[in-house]
Amino acid sequence: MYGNIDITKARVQLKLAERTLEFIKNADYVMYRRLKDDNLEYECMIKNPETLLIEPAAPILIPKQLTHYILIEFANDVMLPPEGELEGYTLMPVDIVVFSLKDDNYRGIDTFSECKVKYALYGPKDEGIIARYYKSRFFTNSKEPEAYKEALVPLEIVNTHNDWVKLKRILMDAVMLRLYYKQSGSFASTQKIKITITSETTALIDYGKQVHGGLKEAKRPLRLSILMHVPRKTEMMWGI
Amino acid sequence: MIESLKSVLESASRVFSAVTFDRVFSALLVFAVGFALAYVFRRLTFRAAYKVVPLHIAKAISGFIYYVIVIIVMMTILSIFGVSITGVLVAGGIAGIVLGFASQTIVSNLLAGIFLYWDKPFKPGDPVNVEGIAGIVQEISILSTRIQTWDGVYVRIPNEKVFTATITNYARMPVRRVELKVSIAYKEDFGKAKEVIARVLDEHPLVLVQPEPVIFTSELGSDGVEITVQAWAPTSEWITVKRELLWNIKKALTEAGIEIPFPQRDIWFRTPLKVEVTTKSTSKLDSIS
Repeated sequence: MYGNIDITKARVQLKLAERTLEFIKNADYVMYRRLKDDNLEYECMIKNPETLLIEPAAPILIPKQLTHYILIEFANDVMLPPEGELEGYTLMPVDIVVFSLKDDNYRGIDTFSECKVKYALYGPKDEGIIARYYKSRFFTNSKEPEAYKEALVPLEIVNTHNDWVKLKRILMDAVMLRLYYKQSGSFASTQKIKITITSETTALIDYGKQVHGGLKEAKRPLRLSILMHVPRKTEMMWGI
Repeated sequence: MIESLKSVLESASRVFSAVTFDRVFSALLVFAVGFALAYVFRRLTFRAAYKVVPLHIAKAISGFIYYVIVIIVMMTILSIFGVSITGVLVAGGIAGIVLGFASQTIVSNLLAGIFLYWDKPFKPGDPVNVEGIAGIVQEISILSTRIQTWDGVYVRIPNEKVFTATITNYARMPVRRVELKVSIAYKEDFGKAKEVIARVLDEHPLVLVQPEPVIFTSELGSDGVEITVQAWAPTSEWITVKRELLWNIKKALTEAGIEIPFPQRDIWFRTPLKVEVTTKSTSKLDSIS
């Protein structure tokens, strides 16, 4: 479950998708362990944590941060007529971050993914960008994301081009992307993503507002927060 | 020559006498508005052009427009101060000749440094190979370029040599191809081996999905069938992928029961070979011992 860990208990064990997280309370520290099939993957001793928190994060941190872009390719193409509009959903992968908080300071102590991690080049080999890659589908109705692996992405597609267009993928920037999650649950979602198609091969991605009510906004890992370049929109220049 | 120098000095004295608050204000205004306009026009041209022409042409067009506006702005500023453009060009030419004769090597290194800065074939931190000297660029100064070779040796190369050298920059492109060669025994099924290798590539997070990896039979060798694997990785992770993939493929092929052959020769004789075998009798051996 996402949200706060009850560190008043002597031992807390959480089973996510394939991994188990353990928090063992000692005199003045908490021993945190991440296990997969009973094999220890990571452990960390946290001195006097005020709060420990598990949250979904943009999937760009594993195995290390190579990019801040996420490329979602649809298994089903979406055709839109001139001036056509369509609302729907897709799914994107999430990384999971365990945060330690004290006063106003927070720090990610562990980052991992329960999802298969792959990257792809978006654009030509000389100028393209590396993006976290995920194959999903375009859904017309809301879809329950796979727990701890995916987040729901509400989409609004607008075709401003004067011809039919085929949308096969979307490129999102993690710097602008916000993730929201259900406390003590496993549901995660992004804000609404608006795709304005400007030609047969180009589109503009806008980052809207939260769609689902009652969700908490996830913290952004420090590495994402300190990125200098903060664009408001993402341009898809090399194919849609 | 004396006439030209005289003209330059006259221009300079005209400039200093022409420096008034109004002119400085006008020049600053032209500078600010001009550069803002150049920036806006470059962006607008690029955004309009990249939809209809290839990206590099769009960049070239927008860049050309930017520099044309910048040159017009600079000329306007000079004319505000009453500077004759012809005089400046002549003075520059003369100064260049004098300096060139006085310190040819230093000037050529300096100019090469300026051109390198303009051309930007690499930046500090890039892994490069400058005519056989390979390593990480530490510093690019106005006169020389310093490289730390892979084995940690410091090399200083004069910019003049760098400028004319063949430069390979391994970090310039976002992606780089990893190429591996693996052999399987003739009796093995290539389809099965290809599946195993494809699975290894798919499981590695840093092997890119796009551009798609390629696996093909590249040679029917003397010891086995040679398979070439070409996979793309982020440039910064190329060496990691290269190091990990070969062993991962070897392990996966062994686990799948696919034989990786070692060099061997089968020797055939045209005629039956007569072999004389002599055996030592046990009794004789016993007597020796």
